[in-house]
Amino acid sequence: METKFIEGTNEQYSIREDGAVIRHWFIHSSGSISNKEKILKGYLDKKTNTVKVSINNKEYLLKTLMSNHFNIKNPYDVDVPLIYRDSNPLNCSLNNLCYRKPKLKTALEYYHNSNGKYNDRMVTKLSRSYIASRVGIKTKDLSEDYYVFYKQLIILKRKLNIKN
Amino acid sequence: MKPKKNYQSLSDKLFQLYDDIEEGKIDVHKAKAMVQSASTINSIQRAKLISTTVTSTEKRVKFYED
Repeated sequence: METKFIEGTNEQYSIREDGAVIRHWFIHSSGSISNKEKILKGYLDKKTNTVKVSINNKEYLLKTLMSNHFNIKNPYDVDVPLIYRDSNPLNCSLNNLCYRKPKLKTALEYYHNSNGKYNDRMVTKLSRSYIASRVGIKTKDLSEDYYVFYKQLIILKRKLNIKN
Repeated sequence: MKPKKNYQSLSDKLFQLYDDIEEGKIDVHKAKAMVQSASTINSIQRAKLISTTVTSTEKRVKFYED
């Protein structure tokens, strides 16, 4: 299994392609150096749903460490987040990490606001429930006619924004 | 764009407008004005829809005429 030393740690820490961070040596309080290897335990940050590891009293995102050391490159021309294939943040192995695929090209156009920045919050699937929430009523109360009308109105507005 | 009597005819107008924009048959500024009118109608209808939601269940899905 491929292992890479983590930069800036003087070969004290390395990262394996299965996502394990290994400490190769450490200095005892007595001053002697121990060469006993130890796999560091990361912890799940529930707010961001990502695993962090503490290296020399500094916290690092495990998936960012993996991305930097194993050169996981973003194949898309837009900025998309690094995600877990199996949606399990505890599994940071190389095979489980990939960049999220952008939406369809037409939808991608809507993602760019007037500043040309990526707008991840834009809703592209104009479902009945989404329209109902925009109107402020329950989905079951949304008539088909009104749904089609509102949906078409949103599509037209976005279309005109792109034209401008 | 004058207010129509139902959402169906308004939607048809919007679909037509979309096609016209795609084919470049209509000026963008004119299209914006039409969308703005449709948006105003929608705002009024939406307000009426919400205001009657708590009092009536039958009228929720209807088009409210002024």
